[in-house]
Amino acid sequence: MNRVGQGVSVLRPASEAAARRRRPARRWLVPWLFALPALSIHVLVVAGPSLATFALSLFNWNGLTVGSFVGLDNFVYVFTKDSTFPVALANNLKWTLIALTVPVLLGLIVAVLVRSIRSGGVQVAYRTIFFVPSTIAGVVVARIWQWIYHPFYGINELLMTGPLSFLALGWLTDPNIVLYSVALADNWRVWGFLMVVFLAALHQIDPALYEAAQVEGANRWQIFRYITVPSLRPTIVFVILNGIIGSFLVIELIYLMTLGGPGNASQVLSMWIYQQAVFNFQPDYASAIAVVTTLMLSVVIAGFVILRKRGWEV
Amino acid sequence: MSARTAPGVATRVRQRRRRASIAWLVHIPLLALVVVTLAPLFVLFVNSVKTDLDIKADPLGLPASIHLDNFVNAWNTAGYTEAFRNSLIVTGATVAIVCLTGGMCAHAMANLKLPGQNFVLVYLLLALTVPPLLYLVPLFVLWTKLHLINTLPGLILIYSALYLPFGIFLLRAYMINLPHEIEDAARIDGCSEWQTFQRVVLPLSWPAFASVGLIVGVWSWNEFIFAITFLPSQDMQTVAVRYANFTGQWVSNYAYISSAGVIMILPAVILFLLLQRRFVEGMTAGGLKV
Repeated sequence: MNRVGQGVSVLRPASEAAARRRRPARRWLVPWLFALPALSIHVLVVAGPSLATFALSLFNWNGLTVGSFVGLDNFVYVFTKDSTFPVALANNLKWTLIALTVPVLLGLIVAVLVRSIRSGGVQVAYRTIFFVPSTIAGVVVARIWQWIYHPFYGINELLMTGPLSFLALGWLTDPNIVLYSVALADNWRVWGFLMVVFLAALHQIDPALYEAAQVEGANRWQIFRYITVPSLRPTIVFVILNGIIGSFLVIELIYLMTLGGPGNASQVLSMWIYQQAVFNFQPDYASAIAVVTTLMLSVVIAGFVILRKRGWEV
Repeated sequence: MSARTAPGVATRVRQRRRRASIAWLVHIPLLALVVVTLAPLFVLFVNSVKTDLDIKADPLGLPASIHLDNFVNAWNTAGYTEAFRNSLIVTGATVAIVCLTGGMCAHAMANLKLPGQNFVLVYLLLALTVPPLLYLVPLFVLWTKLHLINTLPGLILIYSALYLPFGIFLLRAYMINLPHEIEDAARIDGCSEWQTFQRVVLPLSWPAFASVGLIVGVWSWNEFIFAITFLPSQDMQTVAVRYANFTGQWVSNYAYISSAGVIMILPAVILFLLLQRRFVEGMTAGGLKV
């Protein structure tokens, strides 16, 4: 037994050295083996093809064979000859403006109202109801709102007879309002999600802050302005960033309700890229628009992040 | 001192009473919004049990008689049997892949001090902002070469990639707050890294996995753009695509459009109503704790 013990003590330095030699590799290898499956799926589907788009936007390309190198010709076309691109870009900006105001303000105000209710059960009931539209498939949201906007059977049926008959509009046929009609359907779907996000953040605020403010004699507006809003700042930043990204990428409801029409009245960048790539068989040109869209989005997000870092208050 | 506080307390009590008496006023705008939120869904449900003639004669009226056979007819005409099979496979497999590989990746980041962790974090953050339309075309070409167009695994891989960043962020945020002592104890007891993950980390993180599974499940069930692009042939279509095509063909029969729509949204809505706490916690935690 003693010899065995001695043997172990003799062996230990060697095995420890072996372990030390093995350890740095293992320390590096094991975590990466855990991370690799997820990351390789993502690189295969997103990163690889995204980089390919950057490369392919510099070529003549029909989807099957890569043609000649054309440099920035596709981009020159986007900015000089394509009359739809500026329309789509403007529509994305309008959409962004709506998405950052209507559902955000509604969500914030309603969250504050719901938070003020004493009964937790009633709070949950409101939260549940307002969140339901966020779980509904875009295809069904599109068909419901197409029905609501139907010239004969929808909301106009209700409006035409009453004093609001001037509101019986061609919701999806009038080029001046079609974009807002689709945006309204989108707002109906997302505002409840934003409300739930705000409500969760409101519940995180330390009640002692409110008590202190009340003792100090602050009125409701002051409490909202100097306690609620500053405490919600990270949430507001998240919601705004989310809104900007979502607005630049919007396609589903446009595809299903208008296909960018009538004419190009409700055209947006993603829809235009899709049409060029899939319907018009111009993947090279579509790639150029996609690259421009991505770069614009990155500039907006980077600017936003830099402003935040410099202490700019949202 | 007491002379100064006494009236202060009195006014505060009076204020509180006045506040209590007007507190119910918040329900007026809230109930109005309940109506706005539910009215479109109410119309969908009412139309789903009316006949098409009823709908067109009296669009806003209540049904004269309840036609539950609409659901059977809509199911058959839309060809929902195949579509439901496809959607269930796609949704189930996507949830499984996101939970398994996403959980492993989150474990590596939260508990195993993954070298290059910051690089991975930045990569995943960028991934959340990449427009899907940026990589759609080369992905289609790549999928054609790999013979993944018109196959369910092809769409499952795309959905997994699409929802993995969200899943990893949410799971990582949860795992960071787990007590590491239990893991270390498992390792000292001789568990391999995989066993530690499987027997300790997975069971402890189940609420986060439940949230990710539910949310990713609903997203996969509802997704439309990738589904219609990458599964063009009729027998491979998911419910979302089948519904969109069916309502395109039957655009005049609003009874069927409505009942097919109700069938499509019911699984997601019921899941949400039953398990809304997991939903809400996941939705609100995922983005915020990055």
